[in-house]
Amino acid sequence: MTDPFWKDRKIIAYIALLHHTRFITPIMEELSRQGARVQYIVGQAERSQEITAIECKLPFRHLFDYVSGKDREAIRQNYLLLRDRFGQALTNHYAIGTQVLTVIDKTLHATATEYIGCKNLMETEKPDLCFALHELNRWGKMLAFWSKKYAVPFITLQEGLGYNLDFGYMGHAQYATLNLVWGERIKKKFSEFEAPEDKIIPVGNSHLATEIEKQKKNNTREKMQKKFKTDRKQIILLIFSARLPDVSPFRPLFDYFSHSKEDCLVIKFHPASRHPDITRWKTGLQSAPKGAIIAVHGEESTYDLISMCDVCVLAQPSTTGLEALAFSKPLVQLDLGAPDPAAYSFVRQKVAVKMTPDQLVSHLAAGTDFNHLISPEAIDAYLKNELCDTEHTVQTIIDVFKSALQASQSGNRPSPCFRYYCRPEMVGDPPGFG
Amino acid sequence: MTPISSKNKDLPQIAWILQPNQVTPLIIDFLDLIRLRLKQVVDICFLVPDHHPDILKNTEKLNPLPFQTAVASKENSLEGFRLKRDLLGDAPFSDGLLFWRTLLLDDLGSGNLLRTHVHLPPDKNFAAIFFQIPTPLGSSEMEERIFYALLLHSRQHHIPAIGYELLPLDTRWTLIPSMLDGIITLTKDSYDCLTHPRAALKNRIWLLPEHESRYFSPTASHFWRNALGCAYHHQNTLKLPPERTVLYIPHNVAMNHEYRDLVSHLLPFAGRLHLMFSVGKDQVRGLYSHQEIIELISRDTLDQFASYSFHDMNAPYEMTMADAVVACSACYITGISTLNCIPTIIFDETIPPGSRGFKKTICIPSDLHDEIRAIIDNHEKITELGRIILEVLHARQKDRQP
Repeated sequence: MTDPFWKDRKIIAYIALLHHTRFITPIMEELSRQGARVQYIVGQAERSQEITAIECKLPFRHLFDYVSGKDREAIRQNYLLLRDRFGQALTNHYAIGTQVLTVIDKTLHATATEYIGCKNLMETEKPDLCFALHELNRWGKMLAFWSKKYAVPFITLQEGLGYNLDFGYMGHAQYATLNLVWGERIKKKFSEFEAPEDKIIPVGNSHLATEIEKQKKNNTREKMQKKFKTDRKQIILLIFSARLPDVSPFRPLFDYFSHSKEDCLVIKFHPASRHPDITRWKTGLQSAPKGAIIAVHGEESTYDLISMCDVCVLAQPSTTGLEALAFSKPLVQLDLGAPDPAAYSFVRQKVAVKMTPDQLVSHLAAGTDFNHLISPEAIDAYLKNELCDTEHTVQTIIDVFKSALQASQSGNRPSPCFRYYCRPEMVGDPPGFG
Repeated sequence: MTPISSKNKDLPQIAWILQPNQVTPLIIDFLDLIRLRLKQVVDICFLVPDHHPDILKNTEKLNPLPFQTAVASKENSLEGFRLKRDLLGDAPFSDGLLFWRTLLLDDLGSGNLLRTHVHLPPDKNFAAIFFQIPTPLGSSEMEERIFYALLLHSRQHHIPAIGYELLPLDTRWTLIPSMLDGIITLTKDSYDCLTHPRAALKNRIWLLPEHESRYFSPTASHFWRNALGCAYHHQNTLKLPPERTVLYIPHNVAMNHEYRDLVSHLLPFAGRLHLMFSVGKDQVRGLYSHQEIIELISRDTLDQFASYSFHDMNAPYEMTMADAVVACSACYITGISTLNCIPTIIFDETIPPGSRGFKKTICIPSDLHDEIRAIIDNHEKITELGRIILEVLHARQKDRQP
């Protein structure tokens, strides 16, 4: 069914990292199907955002494409503002210098250019609505800022589980008109850090909603097993976050899988992991017999791997833990001896079992059914709190978009549910929008 | 060899930092010469980070002192986050968006902190620190971390921080130059870029003469290597003041008339010029040596110049002292000068004008005047390294006077 409301509506969608784009594209594809014109936007980054768009086959423009010779002076002025402030801060204290100075300088110049690029984008594209995963990085923040200045509704999603320390979410919904999150838990968390409660609406996870269904229909588990040519009885998926841990605590696991005839270990590296670190890890695995340990990086979909596996093991906190549970896979959190600094814990919420690598090996050798280690009721309650919907999320988001757009174009405040909120000190007087 | 510092306890000391990308033999030879040249007035102490295996060996000639470095870090600290936010304060972009809101959580590493410490020799009381300026498209991370640690050290101890160019500075990025007390550039392009009002830099910026800047490049030719120290020698023997522009004239007796004309055309600038004539033994004609021929033919004009001298044409590297070579025809000498990046002007009314690389052919006197004026203007911008060091020391002394 198509809604004529969306015909020729211009939507700007900012994309950056490949593994985050999965949350955005299902919504944009549905809007395109309904007649909206979607313009994907990328920014300047050494981890190329253009490559994300190219790999996803999405038509895109770079924020630098919106600047021309006439903008040189405005860019220079903003660069000098940044440069002088940062120069002063950097010479006063080391804290700002976490990155090396030349990287900071490149960032400052690119930011000044993108700041003007975002402004010009608003004037050139005249979008009806802007969309980004979040406004915590510079691209999301600048796009949100200029959207507000130009009275264009700007809507964000939830980029992950939100397991980092709370202050890392400061300003999460500062300029955004609305922030559409997965469930009640994260709404509470964000509200505690500056985000106005009535801007945050739980709608579910835009990607999981379609992915679970797709995996079932496609018989992904069988297809993946065939693809990896594994006939092992049990497949264990070990998932790493971007920063790889030391390899030595994993030796018992590798030894077990090297000798096991029944179990197979699939190691999934994070897309943001550094190439030399992955190579170092893979080198350590070369002695394992063929088919016993399989290492994959960005070449396989995490969801296909979760579908294929029997048990999902996390080395560090990761959003994929939630996704594994949503796919009904038992979850193991490895205990690597280091204190867990994350505020968020699957184990504390009783939806994952904590095991050292040795303990995991013992369970595997004993043929433990991992599904019996965790109460299904606990998982149900957890998922309910984390994901308010896993079926109709995309349509709900589109309905919210429509309400926000109608409210903004009528010149009235959005309906009470979407009541526009912004503290006056955050921005000057935005034109329009009540 | 006894370290020079122990001999000169009462002299002011400056720290010259060398990192792995600054230790080509030519730079070492040049710095050794500079140290020798200034040994009566300043103790240049070369310092190298001790973590690099080869650097002590590569810089042995300079008797460097190693210094230790250490790195401390903290992750996800609220204190770190607040510290960064407070350092940036409420500074906004032109339309009100705050910097910290835009950059702190992602680009600036949120609550992560990282600090590199440098432990310089405690018995030294440096009057200035000289180090290479890192650039966005060329420096390595460790070198940069040490650079920043030294910059903070200089700020904390109120020591002037002077950066020198090794990699090009004529780029869009000026954060690091803006944080220094002084910048030594190697090329006119960098000097012009950084002194242009667009760069909005308030610090002292110097441009080195070619006979010094060449030695900061690993690609300097054998020609330049042979010329190391030559300019200093002639400046001393000829007693040339620093403000005097030097032109090298590859005279040839086959073109006596043309060269006399050329010298006449230079008269409007005579008071500011030193002319270096090249002379050869095989250009003796009759009873007259090559030098005598020049002196006789141009007798009405030569004395109007601030100074002039004669140089064996078989020692062409002496032209490295000159700001430019000016000839009446392309010749063996102009071939050498253009190949070695020395500005070369050929004033020849019989061939078409043109410009390629460092060689410019011109046909009319007004164009020659324009070129000479530009050479003089350029000379006014340059300062030799020794004078820069003395200027820094004098400024420091003045600052410290009650």
